[in-house]
Amino acid sequence: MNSAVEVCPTTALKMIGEGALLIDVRERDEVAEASFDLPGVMLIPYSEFDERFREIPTDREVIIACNVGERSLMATRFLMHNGYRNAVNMQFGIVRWAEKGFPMTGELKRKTGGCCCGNQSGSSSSSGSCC
Amino acid sequence: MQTIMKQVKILGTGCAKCRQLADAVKAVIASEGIEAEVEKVEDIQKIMAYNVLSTPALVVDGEVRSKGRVPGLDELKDLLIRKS
Repeated sequence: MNSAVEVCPTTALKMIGEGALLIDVRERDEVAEASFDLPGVMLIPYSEFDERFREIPTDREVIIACNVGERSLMATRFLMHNGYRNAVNMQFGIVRWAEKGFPMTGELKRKTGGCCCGNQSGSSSSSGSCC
Repeated sequence: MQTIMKQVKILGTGCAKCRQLADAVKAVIASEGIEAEVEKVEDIQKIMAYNVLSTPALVVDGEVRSKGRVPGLDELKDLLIRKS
């Protein structure tokens, strides 16, 4: 498999402005704390991603994002494995998005990656090194 | 009667939960006397071939029987013994 295409938040914002769909794979508790303030963001938690990925349209460009870009990279590769040709990973996640001052709601408390192993509830202290 | 060896795979990229599942599976296999060959699969490409993203996952005879969590020992026993 080819490597996943990765874009920085600035490029991601530009692509969204041109019609790309942003998919946030952070868990519900993370999204409740802080989220992308953009119309039409699709939420598919990483822990449900392999069950729900077919909700993602195949006919438009999609950008996968998480907290720091680790889970989203795995999700992007998973989509590629399943035949999605237009999926790209947003590097550095919502943490960098927030640093850039791009539109978001809430307050970002978690500055590290979530763990991609199992359900994330209660595991926010993970450094993300497990994956 | 010939016993058919079960093929058990633990899918996980080497995190604590994946190791926990591997240890639990080995413990249940030993305590129940299950004839099984256990393999840890850490290569992400091979993991994705099972359409699994949320690890750890347990595969028995090619069938994904749990994913994204570490089942308790009783449940693990059922998952390992259940026929495909």
